[in-house]
Amino acid sequence: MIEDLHTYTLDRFIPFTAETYVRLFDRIHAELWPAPLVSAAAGLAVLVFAWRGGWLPATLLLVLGLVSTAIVFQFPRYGELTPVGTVFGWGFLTEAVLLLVWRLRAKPIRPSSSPLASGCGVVLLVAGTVVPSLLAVLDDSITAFAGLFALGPDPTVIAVLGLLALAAQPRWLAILLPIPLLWCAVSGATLWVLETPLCWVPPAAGVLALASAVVRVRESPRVA
Amino acid sequence: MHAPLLTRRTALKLVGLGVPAFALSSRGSVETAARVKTILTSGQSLPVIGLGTWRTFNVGSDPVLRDARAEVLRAFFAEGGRVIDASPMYGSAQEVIGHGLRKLGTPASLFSADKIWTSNGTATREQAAQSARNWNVPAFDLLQIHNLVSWEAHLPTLRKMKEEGIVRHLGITTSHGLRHDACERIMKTEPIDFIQLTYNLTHREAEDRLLPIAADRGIAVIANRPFDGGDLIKRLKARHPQAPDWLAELDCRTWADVLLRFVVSHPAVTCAIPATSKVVHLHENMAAGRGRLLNAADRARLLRLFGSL
Repeated sequence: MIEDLHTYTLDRFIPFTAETYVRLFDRIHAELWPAPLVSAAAGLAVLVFAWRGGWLPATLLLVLGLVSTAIVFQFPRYGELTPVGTVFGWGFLTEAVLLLVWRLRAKPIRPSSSPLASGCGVVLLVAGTVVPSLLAVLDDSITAFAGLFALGPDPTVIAVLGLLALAAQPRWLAILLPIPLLWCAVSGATLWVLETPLCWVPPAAGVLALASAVVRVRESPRVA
Repeated sequence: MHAPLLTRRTALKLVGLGVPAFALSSRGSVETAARVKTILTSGQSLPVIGLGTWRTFNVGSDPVLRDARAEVLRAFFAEGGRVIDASPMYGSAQEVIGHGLRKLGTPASLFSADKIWTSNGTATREQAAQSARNWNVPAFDLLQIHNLVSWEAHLPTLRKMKEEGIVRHLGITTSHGLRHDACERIMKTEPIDFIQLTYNLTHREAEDRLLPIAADRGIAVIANRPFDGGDLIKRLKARHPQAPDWLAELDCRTWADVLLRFVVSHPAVTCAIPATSKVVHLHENMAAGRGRLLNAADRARLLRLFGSL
């Protein structure tokens, strides 16, 4: 099987239809109601804590969001359709542990002085936490393929990237970025194969996170 | 340059052994008679339109979608459909088929076709048994080695299973025009009943060697990806939003119909397995199994008109 992989086109790695993928989020929101309301509240709380410099509670909420997404989306529902679900279920749990270790062991956070890094961080954090809930109220077809913070992988990962862009020390970025970036690439490819109009969102989030990371690394000698 | 559609020797063999016939559909009307072709190694007849399940039946435990797929199966059987094809590679498709068969009752006419897809050459029987449990069937009518994975190990085991009566037919599969050299070697040297390969209006590589070999050696052919994963219909509709009137001259009413009829009108093709999640599309597909086949002039006309796709 492995020797044949180079002959496979991208669509052969996506063994389900767009209808089935959208239904994953519909089912989560319906079966776990009022979890979407909890998601909106949690997302708002992350923003408030981050705004006030409460990095530990913000991180803890994102850790819970990753664990929640692994438990409600990746393992039970996405994992039924593709092994990618199970792999990233463990990936999200691993990232949750890494975030906890980071917050407990890292030096005090000094947010970046770069407008680019800060701007990227704010955009990503807002996009991952509260924007999906707002859009779901206005027009749920926009978020049909993404779900909500702490219930769907894309918003949750984008929020994590936002926090990292704002607060992660450069030496920790190499440890904390790979799993979210990998998800952004895989999700973008999946959404592209499924021909969704917003397939560019996860890869764009990854690019913003990388741009911010480069800035953070470059400015690090000035951050004692 | 593609090989001639038929050599005279192959044509005589096909006429003598596998004259396309009609079987009445469950509606019992001559006007709705489903065209069948014969599996030369067993003498069994199969309707020329079957049902594939790649992507469309992988819906996990979603109760709404599982019931929707059961309705596709209901419509398929009502139209006289028999061949259903799946694989362990298709996620939860096998379990979803099993759900549908439990809900509807498994018709005696079902021709269950699944695949062995494991690089572990000693796991043939185990995987076949698990797949049968997923389908809720006692055994398969056809087991195929998926994309030739570890075929050297699986084929002897499948042969033993056939001798033991565990499976009725055995075969190999490939797709996307790949592995034709290896398929040719196997077809020429190993006794197999079926080959599954990609054959459609814009992917006709199989006409060069594999289809003539199949016809010559009496190997039944299942054509996968008759719509090239849906791409062909999209491109046709983009160029011709309205199906032209002349399609009716070919007994066709929809693009799906004409694309499938092109595939199954090749004398070496036994059946095509379009996949769908919608009952309305299922009916369009099954229409291609009724009425006349395309003759050489019809096929040439279609190739001239759509050859640039």
